[in-house]
Amino acid sequence: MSAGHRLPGRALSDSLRPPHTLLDSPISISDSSSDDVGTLLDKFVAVPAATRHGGIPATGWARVAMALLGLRGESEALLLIDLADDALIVVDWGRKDYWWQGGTGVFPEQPTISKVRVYRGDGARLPFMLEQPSELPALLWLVGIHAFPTSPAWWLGESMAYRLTRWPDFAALAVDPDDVSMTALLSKSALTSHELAAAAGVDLNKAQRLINALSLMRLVRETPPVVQRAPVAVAAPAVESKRGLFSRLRARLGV
Amino acid sequence: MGAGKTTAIRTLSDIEMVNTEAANSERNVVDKATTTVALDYGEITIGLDEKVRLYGVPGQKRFDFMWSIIKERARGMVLLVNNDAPDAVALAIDYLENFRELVESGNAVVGVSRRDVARFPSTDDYADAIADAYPDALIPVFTVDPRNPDQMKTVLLTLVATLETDEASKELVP
Repeated sequence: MSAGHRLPGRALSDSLRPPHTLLDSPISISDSSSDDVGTLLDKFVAVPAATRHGGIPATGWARVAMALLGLRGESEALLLIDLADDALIVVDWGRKDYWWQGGTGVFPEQPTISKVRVYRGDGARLPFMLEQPSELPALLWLVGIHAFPTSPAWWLGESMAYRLTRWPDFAALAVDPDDVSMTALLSKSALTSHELAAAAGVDLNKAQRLINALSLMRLVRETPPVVQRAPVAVAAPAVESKRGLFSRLRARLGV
Repeated sequence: MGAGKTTAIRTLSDIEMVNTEAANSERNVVDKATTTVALDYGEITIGLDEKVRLYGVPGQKRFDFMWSIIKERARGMVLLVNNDAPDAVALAIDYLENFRELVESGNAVVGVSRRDVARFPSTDDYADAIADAYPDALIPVFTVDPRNPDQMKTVLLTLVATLETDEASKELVP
């Protein structure tokens, strides 16, 4: 169990890079079109992005998260993300795969993203075979955790409660034991980020980041907040988690 | 069979694992020379008088009497599935059925091994099938390499977390 963020993705070798025409212009596939992510953001964000949640700019992983969110409902689409360190991420939405080319091989928590391009439409798939793609959920997890470090993801309501609908493939992701214990709590009941933080005994931002990631991965169901939720209903597991087998085993395993 | 349970216990155990392997009579299913015929046993010592005991039970059907013995006392289970076995998803559902009580209470984790060899079925394929069979249970399905200590720790901690959360939530029910 590693808290590091070594990229789970495999490198896209130079010989397998998408052709020049695919990278630099809308791909020559019929019915495909490109969307500027700024336009995409306008569709989702009712107020200027720079003023939301303490002024998070529409850059970095937030920008990518919004682009990924915009692909929901699409059967086929390509997302190309250019990072400032000359790395390139190619997401094949239809195949639920991605490739990462270049860079340091370490996931940059605060990247400078120079360009995000979306290509939609039938046939918006990579027109060549690539060896050993990585599974998209691994990228969604990392983007979801880092896109909105101190606030709810822009598409989430601050006071809403969330319940897990499916476990992420945690053994394949860069998770820590707090993520495991929080996800277990969400598997049993719908909780707001404040309730989750209290129940797991973790920092609010950490709880919110988990919800953000699970939401981007479409693994939680949003439910309306319950007025006057009984605080004892979420307080007890927190006490339990600090003295229970989970904590002792975690310490024993050194994670 | 062939999913890596002996290796998984060896990876987690902090004692020399007690191992009971014998010649594999079903090499048409999994081509390996030996397989577990009784129990693998390992343990993790947490304190002076507290241990997590790890039992690996044989996957072959002819040893299913062992399953009954173990499941009477088991608090949770990890089902390891070999992803390149024929009809691996149906096989997993079949095995889970033998531990229905643990599965229905959510105290189970499915580990899918050898996905580097056979990428499909996906973990979602397993989760979909489990959700169909057990609509009220939310069973984690993880990609695992039983040789990988980090991954096996994640599996074990997930199982313990679901166990404790389940027990805590029951205590809260008026």
